[in-house]
Amino acid sequence: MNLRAALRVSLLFVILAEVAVVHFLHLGHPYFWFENIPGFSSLYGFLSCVVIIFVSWLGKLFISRREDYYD
Amino acid sequence: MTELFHPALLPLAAAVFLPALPDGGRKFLTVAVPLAALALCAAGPHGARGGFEFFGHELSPWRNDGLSALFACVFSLIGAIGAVYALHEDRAAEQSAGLAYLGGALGVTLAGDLLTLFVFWELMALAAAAIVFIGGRPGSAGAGMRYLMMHLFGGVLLLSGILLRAAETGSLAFGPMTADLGSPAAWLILAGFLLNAAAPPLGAWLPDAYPRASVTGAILLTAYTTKSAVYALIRGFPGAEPLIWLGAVMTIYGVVYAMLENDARRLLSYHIISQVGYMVCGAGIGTQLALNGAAALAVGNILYKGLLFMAAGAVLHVTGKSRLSELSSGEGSEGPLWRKMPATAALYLAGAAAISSFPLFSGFVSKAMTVSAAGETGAALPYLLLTLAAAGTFLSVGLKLPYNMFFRDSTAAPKAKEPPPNMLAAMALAAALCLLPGLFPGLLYSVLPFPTGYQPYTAAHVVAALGTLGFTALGFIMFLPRLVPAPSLSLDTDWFYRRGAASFMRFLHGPLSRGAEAARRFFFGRLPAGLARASENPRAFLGIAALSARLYFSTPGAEAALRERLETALKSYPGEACSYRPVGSTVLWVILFLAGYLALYYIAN
Repeated sequence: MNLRAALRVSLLFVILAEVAVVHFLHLGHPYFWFENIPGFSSLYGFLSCVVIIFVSWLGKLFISRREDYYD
Repeated sequence: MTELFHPALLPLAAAVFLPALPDGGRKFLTVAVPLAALALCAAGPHGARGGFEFFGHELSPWRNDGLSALFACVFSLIGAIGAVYALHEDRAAEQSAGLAYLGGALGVTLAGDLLTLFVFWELMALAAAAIVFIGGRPGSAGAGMRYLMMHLFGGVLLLSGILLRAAETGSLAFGPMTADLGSPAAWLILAGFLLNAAAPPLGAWLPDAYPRASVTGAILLTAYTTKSAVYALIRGFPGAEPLIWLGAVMTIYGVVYAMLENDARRLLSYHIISQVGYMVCGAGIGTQLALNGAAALAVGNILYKGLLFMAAGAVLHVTGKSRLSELSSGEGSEGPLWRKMPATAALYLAGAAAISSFPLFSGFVSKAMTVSAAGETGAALPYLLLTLAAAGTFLSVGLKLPYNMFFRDSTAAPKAKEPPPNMLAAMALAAALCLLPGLFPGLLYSVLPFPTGYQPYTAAHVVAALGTLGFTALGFIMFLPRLVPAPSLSLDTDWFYRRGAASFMRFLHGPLSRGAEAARRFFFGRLPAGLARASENPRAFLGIAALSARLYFSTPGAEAALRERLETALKSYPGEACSYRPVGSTVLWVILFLAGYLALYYIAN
């Protein structure tokens, strides 16, 4: 549990750092419009994670078979 | 004289003589020969050497330039690391096949013409299939055969493309062919390359075969076949647009299947496809930055994917288990596996950090190049897909696998301990080589094919990477109850040749062979027998046929009489085949025929 709390606190710092670097210090060089969304990398990272878990859950429904399927 | 020392010949010669040596000599050679090949590749002056004429075509088996030297050196290096990892084993056949495999990979990398490339390409397929075949795991032999079949098929595609191209252009030189993608020759060559790059739908051989190799044999498999295909794509098809999309799809496909997978080494195998996707995408973008990125990723990937396979292999070696569901029961008082194997767990995590492109590791400085290249060319969707797959990489290889393998309570291996020191040494070496380019990117960038001033460590890159990784970890923790590994198998395109082929064989053995047997009995039994019977007395036979027809169409009143006549005719068959008539009727027939002929003659004229 302590680990999770530590992760949450550090994530808060990460997203703040990202917003600071991109939007206040203007150190980034965005290629696309969507990278100007505050905290884009963090949000997109979370979204990616959810999408992949969801797609693999779908995959489990449709393409999963017993382990000895080919035997 | 220096032509004799083509780096590929050294391991090939060693592979031939190795089985005749004693155990110690063999082990010495498996480490020394790759190192010698490394020295030859690194020291060899740039340029083409050893060219000769072959049936009117100029062959140049040794082209040493920045790109080929880089791949050849890393292939040799992982060959030596893999040999150190295998020092505790005494598997002469595998050592020999491993050296031949290295020879094939070096030959492909250094080939300046397509024919030489093809010869070494096939050699690689044979050596790799042998490594799988003698893997000694359940299902090794079958997987080895399937591997061989798929790669021989790929070889046929490649050779047809090469021969068509030679006929079209009159040249066998191996250079950029992107501009020729209008002709089927270039497409066939591309398909041959992509089969080895494990691009779907031709890539299911990879997760089928690699987990069935031995713990030690799998290390070389992960390095050579796919990465020499990446080399061939960088060299042959830079800027081929379909590769951008294919590569982006591969990155996602690989991580999704990795998330579905339960076996640790099979998970890592699927993830190779995802990683190769980045390189295929880089080759497809084709700018100098993208090609540099693809080459840097290939180099880094050989080392960190090797490291991950070595660590998962060490767990398999010690515990005899590689299914995550068996390694992480989540109960029992044994405690998690990392307490018993702390060094292995730490080395795995180093590899996982590198592949997930944590700052300070090699994946960060190479993956950033490819993704930036996608950004620079304005390809928004590939850019988003590559970033999505980066999160998936961390999720599958950096979180799911180590969490279940090392950090959950497990009753799987009460007596687990660290693997033999040579395994740890090989892993430590690979881990050091994953850290080195991360700490000093200039070292890596200086050996890339194009000069680059790329800056990986900008504040924006670092916070973006940490954001992606950190929030992926958050998602993982949130969905942890849904991610419990369970034994399963995910359908892939190998279904078509594993289940599909089996159904086809059942069709051959069942309906088709029964039908063929019935046809055989009719055409070679009943039909000739009937004809023979008919020829005994054709006149009476026709009479019987006519009677039968009349009986069939008869009115009920006439039926009895007809039936009686038919029975009499059948009873007396064949009877007398000749009938006797007076001479006069014969003469009448002759006259009629002659008259008919005369009439016909006049009409025709």
